[in-house]
Amino acid sequence: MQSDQGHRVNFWVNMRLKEIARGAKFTLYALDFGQGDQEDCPALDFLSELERTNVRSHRRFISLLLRHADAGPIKNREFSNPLRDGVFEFKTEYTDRLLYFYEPAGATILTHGFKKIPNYNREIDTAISYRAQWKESS
Amino acid sequence: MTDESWLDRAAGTYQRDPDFIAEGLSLELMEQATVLMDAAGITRAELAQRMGVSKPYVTRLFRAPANLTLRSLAQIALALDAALTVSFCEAPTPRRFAPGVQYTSPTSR
Repeated sequence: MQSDQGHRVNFWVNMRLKEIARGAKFTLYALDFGQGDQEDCPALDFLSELERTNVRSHRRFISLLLRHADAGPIKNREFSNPLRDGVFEFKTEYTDRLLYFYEPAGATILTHGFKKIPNYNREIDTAISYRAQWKESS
Repeated sequence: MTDESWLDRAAGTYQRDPDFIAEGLSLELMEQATVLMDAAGITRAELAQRMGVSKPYVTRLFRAPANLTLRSLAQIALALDAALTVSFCEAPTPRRFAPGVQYTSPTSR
């Protein structure tokens, strides 16, 4: 893994991490599929979209991320749940979901977000795939 | 941390939003209640019974609304044999952090 303009980079899978917060418990990163100066962070794109379309849900996610970074994993299942294969979700009362996984040494990595549909296995599979790619080569 | 992070900037837009502060405090208090319940092996159904309310009502409380009342918190505290304290303190600077969370420096973790 190498450094590229402040990002942690995994060239093998064209994936890097953008640090978004450094809290007392966890450093938060978002997966970034961009190159050079171009960022392509699905999780942050989702939150930006949410800020325009549902400020209440956006505000809640910001609270959850702050709390997670500063005080550790959220145990209240109304807001965070383990899903499958090392992937977890942050969720709001507005059916929005933000998936993440842990990396050893106090890192939490956001993969992407979406509005929940009854069966969101495909979204979970996507996050599992990202996690596996990241872990295999780092 | 000297550089403002993405999350700091995002939180900054809500810095003076009472709903953000109230929701953050509500989130933190219901998180503490969850930890107490887990430690004591108390389910939400049992908590509802102890509080003399319905389970859906308890579920609504755990969604940590901005308008969670002190009375509801007192009911939860009594049901869990816990003390409840709410206080004002000096605003943290320069970094923003989760409302209600006792802040410790990242360098001390």
